[in-house]
This record gives sequence, structure tokens and C-alpha cells, in this order.
Amino acid sequence: MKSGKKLLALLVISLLATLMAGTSPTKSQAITDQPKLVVFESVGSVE
Amino acid sequence: MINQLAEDYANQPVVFLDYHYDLAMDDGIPTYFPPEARWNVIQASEEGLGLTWAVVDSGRLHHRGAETEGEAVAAYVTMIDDALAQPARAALTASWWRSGNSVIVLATVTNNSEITLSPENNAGVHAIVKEPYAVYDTHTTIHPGLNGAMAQIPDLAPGETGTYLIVIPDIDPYDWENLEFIVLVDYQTAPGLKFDQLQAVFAQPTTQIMYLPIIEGRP
Repeated sequence: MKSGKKLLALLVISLLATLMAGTSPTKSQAITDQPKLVVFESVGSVE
Repeated sequence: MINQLAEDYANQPVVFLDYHYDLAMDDGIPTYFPPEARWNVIQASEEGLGLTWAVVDSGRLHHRGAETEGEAVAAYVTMIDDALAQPARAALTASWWRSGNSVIVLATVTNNSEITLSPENNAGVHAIVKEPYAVYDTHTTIHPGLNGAMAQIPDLAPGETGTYLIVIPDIDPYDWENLEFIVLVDYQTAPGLKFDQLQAVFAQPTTQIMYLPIIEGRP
């Protein structure tokens, strides 16, 4: 029971942390030089 | 032909994704339109044009209804080369882990554009499952996108960083070990007009699993 409560608390904390991360963006100091990945998306094909 | 194109671009940062138009059908109701709303913009662009539909940069450039291989190759190469010449306008990292038949993706976006990303411009982070080189009757290439999901971006001003959780449900591949997860961030340039893509990456598998209750996100 005790460990069950701990697990539940951990779940809630993890969820809140994630939600906070998603809704409260922080200022970024660095602009990276990450290369662009091009995504080519298609439906159907003239094979 | 798209398979050959993928081979031609194998040494460049280009990923090919092929969808089936009734992807993720559930009782006749599509649960995920690939690539969701941005695809609808393409559909509305020219009445009556059929497959093949192809987009880069979430639809910034598109082509519909190629009737010959030559026409398709010329159009697609032009689109891809143009997209390669565009700079990334976001920094994006993503990790994933499996939970049953779902995959959870955690993506961090730094908005390096001059646009605030929000529901007002339908900004979102998409995660799409690909099973490379798998052959499905429902797909016409060996670059099948099996399913996907997206997280809306609530508010991300230029220079800000946000982290988003995406749950991709109901993944049923031939081989779980052969999956790739493509994560991309995009927004709509104006109401009713095309979408544009800031950046995309392959999500990396992680063992640092966050134990979360599974809440299915907006498909």
C-alpha cells in the first residue's frame, strides 16, 4: 500500500513536470547549427 | 520510383514517408490524417487532382497528380533540393520509448524563427512511425508511415524552448526493432494557406523512461 502511494506520487510528479515543460517554455540562450532534415511525404506513387 | 528517389538521396539528410490514405481507420473514421490539417490544405488547392500527392516542408511545396515517372521525378527532385537549401528554423531534439503497443515521444523545440508558435497558427509537433523497407499492401513504397500523433504548441515565442509529450498509439509493425520515429515541428503560414516546417529529426531511443499514465493525445 505504502509503495503503491509512492508510485502514484511519482506518476503525478512526472506528469506535472512534463506538463509544466510543455506549457512554460524557457528562454533559450543558444541557437544551434543543427542541420535541417527534409521530410518528403507522399500518398500513392507512380511506381 | 519514390523508392529509387530515396536511394538517390540516401547520403543526404532526407527522409521519405509514404502514407496510405485510410491510415489508422477505425470503424471507417480516420483517426490520423497524414499529415493532418496540412494535408487538407493541399487537397483544397486544386480540385479533382488525384494521387500521387507529395509534399516537403509540411506542404510549403507540393505536387499532385503526376501521371508519368518523368514528371514525378522532375517535380520531386526540385521540391527536395529546394527544401534542402532552406535553413532549419528550430532546434529540435527528441527521444522515445515503448509502452505496450504505444510509443511515447518527448520532444524539445527551440524556436529560432521570428514567428510565435501557438494554436492560432496551428503549430504542432508531429511524431510519425516509419518501418523502413517493410512491404505493406496499403503502401506503395518501402517507406511506410504506420501511424502518428501530434502535440499542439500552446505558446512558443521566438527564442524560447518548450518540451512536448506525444503518444503514438496502436503501433502494429512487422518488427519493433526496425522502427524509426520522425519528429517534426510545423505551423500554418496563414489561415487557409500552406503549412511550413521549421525542423525535423529522428527521435532517439532512451532508457530514461518517465513513468506516466498513458493518455492518448489528439491523433
